[in-house]
Amino acid sequence: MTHGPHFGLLDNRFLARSVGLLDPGAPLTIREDDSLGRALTVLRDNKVGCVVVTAANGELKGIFTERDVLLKLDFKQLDETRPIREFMTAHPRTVEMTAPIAFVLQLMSEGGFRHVPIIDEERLPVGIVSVKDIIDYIVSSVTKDLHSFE
Amino acid sequence: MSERSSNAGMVLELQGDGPAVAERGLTIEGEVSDDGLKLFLTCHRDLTRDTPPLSYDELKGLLVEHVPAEFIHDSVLQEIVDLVNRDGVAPKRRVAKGTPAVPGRDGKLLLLVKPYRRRSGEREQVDARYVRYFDNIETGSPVARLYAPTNGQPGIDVLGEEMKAASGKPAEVKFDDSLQLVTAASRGYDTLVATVSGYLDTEGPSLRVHNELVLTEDIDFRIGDIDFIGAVRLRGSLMKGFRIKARGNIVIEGNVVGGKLVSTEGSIEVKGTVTGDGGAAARIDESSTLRFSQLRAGAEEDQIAAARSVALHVVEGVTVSAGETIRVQREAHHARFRTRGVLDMTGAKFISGAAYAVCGIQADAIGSPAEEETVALHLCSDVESSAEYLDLTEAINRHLHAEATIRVVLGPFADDPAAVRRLEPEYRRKMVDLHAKLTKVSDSRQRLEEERTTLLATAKYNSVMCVNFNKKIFRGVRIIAGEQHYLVEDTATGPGCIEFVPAEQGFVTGPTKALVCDLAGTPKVER
Repeated sequence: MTHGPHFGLLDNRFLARSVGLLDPGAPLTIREDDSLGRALTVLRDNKVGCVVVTAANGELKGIFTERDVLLKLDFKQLDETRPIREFMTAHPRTVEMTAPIAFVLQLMSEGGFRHVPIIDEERLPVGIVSVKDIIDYIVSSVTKDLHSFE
Repeated sequence: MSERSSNAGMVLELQGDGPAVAERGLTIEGEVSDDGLKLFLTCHRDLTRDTPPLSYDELKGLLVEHVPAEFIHDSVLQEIVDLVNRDGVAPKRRVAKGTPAVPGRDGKLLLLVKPYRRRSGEREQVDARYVRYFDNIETGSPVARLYAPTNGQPGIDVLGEEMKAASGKPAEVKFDDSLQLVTAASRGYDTLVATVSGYLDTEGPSLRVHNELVLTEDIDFRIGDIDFIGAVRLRGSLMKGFRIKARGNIVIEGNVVGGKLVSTEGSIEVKGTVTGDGGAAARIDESSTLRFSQLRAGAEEDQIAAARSVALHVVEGVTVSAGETIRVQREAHHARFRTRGVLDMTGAKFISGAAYAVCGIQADAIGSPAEEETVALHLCSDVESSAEYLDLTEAINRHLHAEATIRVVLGPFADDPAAVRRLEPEYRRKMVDLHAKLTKVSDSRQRLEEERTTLLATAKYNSVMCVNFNKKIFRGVRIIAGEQHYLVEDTATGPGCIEFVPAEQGFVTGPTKALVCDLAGTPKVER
């Protein structure tokens, strides 16, 4: 007996799910007094679009992304020894692990950014979620439901 | 807490190796702070003595015998030297600072999902006001991360001795077999993964995933719809306009008053009364064949729908569908049932409504004592009991009705479209358009009928297609198998059975038969 597709995406609770359910990975971090060159190396070597910048005690201070590379760096006179704090986006918008996916999407849409750091109650970065992570999660949920439809 | 420096509070007399400092009337005293990290210096010089002034290099030389050079504040030393040479006294100043120990971080538990925070004494039920504030968790989903404590970094006191740092404490966490700890050293944390689906429950340091959601309040406007990945047990009632949807079983200990229940993989049981909105109201058309005016196809329109079985007590004005047996224990009024199994109303009365059952129907009493046509029982194939088939039938009926209506408007032009050329241009154009519409509707209807025929070609029937009545079957009850109808013309006393015999395309009466689902692929019911 079929009862119509039980597509999770059409479930009105889908977007209320916690972003933690995406199991976001631990972010790559560098210190705020690390150099720009080190930040660029981290982005390139790890093939990521974003690195989180922290204070010496680990507290989140900023975020440095590929957009910062494009918009803030003057490649004609680049001094890679400058500290990354001069180029990062300071005090980025953050969420906690239990923030609803809908809220994170809204944040990204309103703010025009593609990465949102996830912090714990001590403001220590514990994850990073990108718009691609959310798209992948939506697609995998729909695909799973399609396969289970009879 | 990090270890305290053994030099804390120490007082140093900086004299150097030789008598030079004392002979010049110089007193240089250092005092280590209580935390061992800072050195304060006080200097006095007897200006009445005509002796060489204190120099920066000399003072620094005296200090470095005790303090690592990198800790010394050179600018402060210079200020001290200037003051003591000018005024004879340099008041207490901090001249050096060590590196504090950084204590290790305690281990921590980071939840990845919104839990239900159980209050003590709440036992297994959930406060329904918070039911939409926690996440549905699938089996295998990570629900929390466990970070190990860190060791901390040792410090160096102002006199250069190491200060040990305290290590963090591990997080206290308890969990049962609904969670599994998965270790992955490369990630820097361990992960707690759900071994069952449900919701995460926390009580102090204890974590558990519950597969069953137990609610005690009525589900109404204060609570809203319930949508849960596991099983639901409601100790109250479900009110009109609200829905409980669960992947697992649903048990309602109260009543269902117009609300909706859907179990996508389990069974449903309602211990109280189920009342609906009369979704199975019946009317009799001109041909005295029972038709159902609100026969809605699709489980979306069913008030109670379960992938497996449904067990009810008293049912009124309700549509019910189940993949397996539907049991009604007392009575059914204005109810419509669809099941791939048996409609089992042993001990109960089926007073009015309709049923589509693949494996047979049984009840103590069927029909109305008024002996009106109030019950229609369809002995059907698995296909005919499905929502898809009813969707198609409904659509075909709508097309037939539309065709009949267009024909009425077209009148004689319906069958003689060429005759429209004699009409006025405007009227002719309208008739031509209408005729094109008739053709379109007719073609669409034929496609739907072909689709239905294709669907029926895969239909499976039960070897026994039978209606058992244990006590009475009233005059007016209609039993249908395909296009074959059997109308009970005289009220009969049971136990007995009215069985459809495919080979004869007819019905026979006899003793009751055991109703067992076999879908044995018996010869098709002719249409």
